Amino acid sequence: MGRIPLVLLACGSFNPITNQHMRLFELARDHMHHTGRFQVVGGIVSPVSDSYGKRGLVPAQHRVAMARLALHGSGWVTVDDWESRQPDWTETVVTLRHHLQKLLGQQPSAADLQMPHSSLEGSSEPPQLKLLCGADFLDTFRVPGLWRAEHVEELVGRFGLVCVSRGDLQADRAVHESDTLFRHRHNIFLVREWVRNETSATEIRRALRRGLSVKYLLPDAVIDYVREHQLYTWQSEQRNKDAVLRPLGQQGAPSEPLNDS
Amino acid sequence: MELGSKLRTRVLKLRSFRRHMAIAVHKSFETVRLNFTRAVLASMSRNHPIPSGRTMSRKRPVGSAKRTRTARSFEQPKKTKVVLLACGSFNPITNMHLRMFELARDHLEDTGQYEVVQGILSPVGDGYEKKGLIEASHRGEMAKLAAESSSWIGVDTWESRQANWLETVKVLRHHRQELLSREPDTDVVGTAKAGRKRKRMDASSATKRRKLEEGPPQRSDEPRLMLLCGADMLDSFGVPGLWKPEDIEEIVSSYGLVCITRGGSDPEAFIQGSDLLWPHRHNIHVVREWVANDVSATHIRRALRRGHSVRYLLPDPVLGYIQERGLYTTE
Repeated sequence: MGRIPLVLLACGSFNPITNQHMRLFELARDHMHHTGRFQVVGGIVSPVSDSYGKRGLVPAQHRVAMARLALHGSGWVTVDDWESRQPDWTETVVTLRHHLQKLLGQQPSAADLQMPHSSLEGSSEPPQLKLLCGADFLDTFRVPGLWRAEHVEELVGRFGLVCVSRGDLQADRAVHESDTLFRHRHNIFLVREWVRNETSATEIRRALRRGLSVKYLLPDAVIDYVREHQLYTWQSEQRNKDAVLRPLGQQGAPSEPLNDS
Repeated sequence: MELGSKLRTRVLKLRSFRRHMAIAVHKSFETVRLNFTRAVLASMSRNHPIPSGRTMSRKRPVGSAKRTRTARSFEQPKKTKVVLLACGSFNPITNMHLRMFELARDHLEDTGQYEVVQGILSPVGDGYEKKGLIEASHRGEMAKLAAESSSWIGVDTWESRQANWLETVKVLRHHRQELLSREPDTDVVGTAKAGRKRKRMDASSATKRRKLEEGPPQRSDEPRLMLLCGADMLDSFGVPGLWKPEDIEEIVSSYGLVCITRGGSDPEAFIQGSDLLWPHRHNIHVVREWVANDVSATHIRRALRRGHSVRYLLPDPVLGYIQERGLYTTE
């Protein structure tokens, strides 16, 4: 039996993209390859649209541009702006469906996917698309109103997760504590980097606001872009300050008990 | 004593006075008086050089002499120029090593007292004989590739070219002499003082003690060389037999330490508990790395041995160098 061709999709703010984001892809690829069952043929970075409403989110055109600069030298990870161009926020599952359809519909001569078509040839197995994420992503399933139950089911059942975390047991516990996740535990791949690396986009934005150096935490080209466009300031962090995250607003999450307005 | 009280008035306005008193307060009254006099003598020699026609140093705003010269009521304090030196295996160099420089520079400049003008990576020589240490020529090349994109960090291979392993303090002394010989000597006095300093480097312990109490003998325009390290190096000061006490003393008094914390260590507590370090605590700058980053060269070597990707943990040119030569594939 040949290896299953696998594409990893990472959804997120990428506000901005960091070395740590790109590490996730590298770690996931190594892990999935070492299972013996998969051949990772591509990676996709899909920045969320502006209507997500997250605090401090700078315009998608910038986030996409920075991701492209960062991944310029990567041989296998690309940036896709479909999600960011949608009129409204897109559920993760919808994004996954879109990309899987694209993947499956790919003809050997088609060049819309920027990966060599030969990676898909020579394998009798249909390609799979899995969501790449960090351990904290698993905890978001527990936030009331953030996910539809049927979407979680489709996400882990039909697609699958590749979840990169540190050596702690946070991800294991999240799988254990959710019946849905537990049922699909064989489709949830837990990848560990055994060292702590807590460099996050939040920290980087904070450093940039304060005029501190972020060199070596993200590619020079991205830092130059940020400087050129004066992207991350105190003002930019105030964006969406009082907004509700789009998924919560859309799915009619219960308002706070004490909010009588 | 009339002469004593005149000197006292002048010294009170010197910035270095605080440091001397901090040391002096913990000693007996007799020693306090002794240190005080020495401090006065030291400050006199700095600010009142051999009569050569020059007035008080124009570069450091000191006491009343400066104030009478200008009508301004507020003087911008002069910033001390700093050069950061990092010694290590750099086997291989990583983004974390380079981050240390950036964090240190931000921290020092944030105090408003310092201007970091240069960073030096000094890979250890092959004589160190640590397990898995690849040739110095490779490590130096990789460090150079890594530092290429930096405007202020560079590599010095002097240490790596020495036949035998050198104590850290010797590397510091070498680089300080390099800095001194680079500095333009604008007057005879400057050269004379530099010559005296070099002699003092090898002086007896009694003179060393005097030098310690004066603080580092600096010209006002000389960049201060500081050792940049992780908290683990600071902790290693406590390992019996690993460091000579007089070397530690020299490092923290004549130079200075900039220590980047890693998770799981408490540099301030360590300094607090060390009689050797505590008097020089103002010369030991602890930089808190708020975001934990434990990625180490050891981790990277392990990943390479196992055929795992280390991309984005170190600069791409360094990774390319490693891959081209098949480095770190075996133990």
